[in-house]
Amino acid sequence: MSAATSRRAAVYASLAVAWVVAAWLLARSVVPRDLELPAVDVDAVFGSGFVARAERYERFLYVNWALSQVAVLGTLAVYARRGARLARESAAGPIGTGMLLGMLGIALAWLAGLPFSVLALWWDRRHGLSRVAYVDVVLGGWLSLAGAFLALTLGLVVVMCLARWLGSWWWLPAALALGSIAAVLVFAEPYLATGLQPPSDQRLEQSYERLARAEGVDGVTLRVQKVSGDTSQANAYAFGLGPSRRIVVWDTLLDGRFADGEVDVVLAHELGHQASHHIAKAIGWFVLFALPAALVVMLVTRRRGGMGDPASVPLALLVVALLALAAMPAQNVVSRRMESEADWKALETTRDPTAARGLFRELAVTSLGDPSPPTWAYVAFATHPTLAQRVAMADAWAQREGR
Amino acid sequence: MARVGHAPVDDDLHRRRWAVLLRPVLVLPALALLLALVVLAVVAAVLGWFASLVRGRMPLGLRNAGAFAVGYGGRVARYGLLATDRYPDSGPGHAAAPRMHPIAIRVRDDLGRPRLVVAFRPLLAVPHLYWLVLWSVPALLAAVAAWVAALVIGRVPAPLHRFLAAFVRAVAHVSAFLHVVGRPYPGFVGREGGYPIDLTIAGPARQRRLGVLARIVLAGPALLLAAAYALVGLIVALLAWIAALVSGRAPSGLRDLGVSSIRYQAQTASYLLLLTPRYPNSSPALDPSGAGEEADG
Repeated sequence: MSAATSRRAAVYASLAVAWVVAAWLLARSVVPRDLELPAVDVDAVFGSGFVARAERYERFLYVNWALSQVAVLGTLAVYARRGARLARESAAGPIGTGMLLGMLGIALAWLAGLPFSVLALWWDRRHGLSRVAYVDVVLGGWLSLAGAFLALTLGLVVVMCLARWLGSWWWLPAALALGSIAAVLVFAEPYLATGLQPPSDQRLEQSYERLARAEGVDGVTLRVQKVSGDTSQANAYAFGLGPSRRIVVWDTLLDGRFADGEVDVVLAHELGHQASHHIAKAIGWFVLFALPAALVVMLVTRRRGGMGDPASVPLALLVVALLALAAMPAQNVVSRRMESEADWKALETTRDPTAARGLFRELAVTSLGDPSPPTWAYVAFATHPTLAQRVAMADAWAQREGR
Repeated sequence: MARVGHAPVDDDLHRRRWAVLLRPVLVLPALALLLALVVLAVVAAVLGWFASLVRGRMPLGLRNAGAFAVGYGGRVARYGLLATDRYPDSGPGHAAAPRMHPIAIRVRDDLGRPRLVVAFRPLLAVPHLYWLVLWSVPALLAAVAAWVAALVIGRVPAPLHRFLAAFVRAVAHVSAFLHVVGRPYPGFVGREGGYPIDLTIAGPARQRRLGVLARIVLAGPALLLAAAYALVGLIVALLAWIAALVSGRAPSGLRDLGVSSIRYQAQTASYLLLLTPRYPNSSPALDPSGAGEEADG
């Protein structure tokens, strides 16, 4: 073994150890390790008629998603073979040409997926879950590509500059640099978001402040997003970083379908994300996933001259799309772990498992969500624990507390 | 072409039925462009009124801007009223340059526009737009420094001139791409010769200090006309985008009018940023060789 190979092996081994340690640190959770979720009779809790309807609804979406992936990956595969020819449409030098090829690849992938987005919207409208106009999917999707283009070109500039500078070691600093860019974007996102209003309901504000105090969260603003014109589904989310942290609830959660206690569980859940620093941890996970992904991209694109050459960009897009697809189950495990922790914190804060059960039942109804999807779908798509698992966690918490 | 009275008319009386049937729709793009050109002509007329009162002479460029709009209006009317089957040509035509303008535009373009690059063109330009916004901050500082330097030494120092020229050129390149006037994706640094629609910017020249001192005020009328040219450019971009999406080519008339719009705006920016003491040439006509432009504002 040559000295260079030994050095390389030592670097890879050190990185692997660091990766495992970082993953272990990021994966820590307050959910008791010995927590056993009791079995939930899904038909009894959610109603057998509803469960059958939800299964039918989601089955179509699974097929639609699978077909869209075939279309998008097929398009990117063709683009990986032929896309480099479009370099002649650029007068922008190697990095600018790489940016053009990257953006055109994303645009083609969007075009390939567009019919399936329209189909998914048709299905949602048919089930009364969406009121979004078809033209909004097309025009809104087209316009939203601007943001994707900007993020992509920023990433490509970093990757291509590093590749031209560092050769085959670009992937290591690139993963860290991409993580930094992600952190900046996550930080800036709340300041760029539009249509978020301060809550007009005094009870909501008082509950929020009480729950935030209980979870030890300070300086996180609550906002309400008006979505009732577009959808009947209810949702909430936490975003931002440091001083830009926000919690947003959709106005559909506040339209009277959910009891006050159920809304409190949602607020406590989102505060749980902020209290547990899940957004910062998600950026950490992004870097951990980006490291091996960048290494694979480096290895695959070497034969085309590496990422410093714009001709490699179409192939890199295909590789990234395939890796993203392959990493989905692992990313879902991470996401579900964070969501479980937020659920547990919500139970600890509200101490109201009845409201939590009611919330999860109502969420199933308003989003037509299958409470217990097939295992393969759970592994592939579920970013949250199933609604049945969430009900089971509320039951488990009640049992532990002797309620 | 024959004439009835003073109006030129087509000898060919044959009319394609489908084109006649769709004429009320087909004339709409030409009417939209005419509207923008009327705005240009009105601004040119107002400026020409003041200039004529002061100098007793109508500036050639302003006269040509108005005349072009009137001529195009006539072509649109003939087409709309079925006097001809030929779609109105929006090209500004060419005119020999009595004096070469220091800020000239060169066109090396084959009119081909691949549909994929056309379809997403406004979005593809987004990184450039962000870049230009960032660049505009040091460019503004450089312009202030150039202004102070020109007041003191009577000319803009070469490094500042180069920096500002690259900025103006980069804006012109991106503008050409965005308006479907140029074909390829432009570079980011405003390199001379780096784009098929390119500016040649003469080196620093001596400037009268009084003219430098009052540059912002003096540029006022040109900025007004530049705004009108920008409106023309916007309509050109929209029409050329649709045409290129359908046919994979940019119509030459629209392309040339877009070039005129970009050139005027570049000359105005150059005048404002002290790259030249010469006032912008307001005529839409292009130089026949593409190597220089008609002068006399």
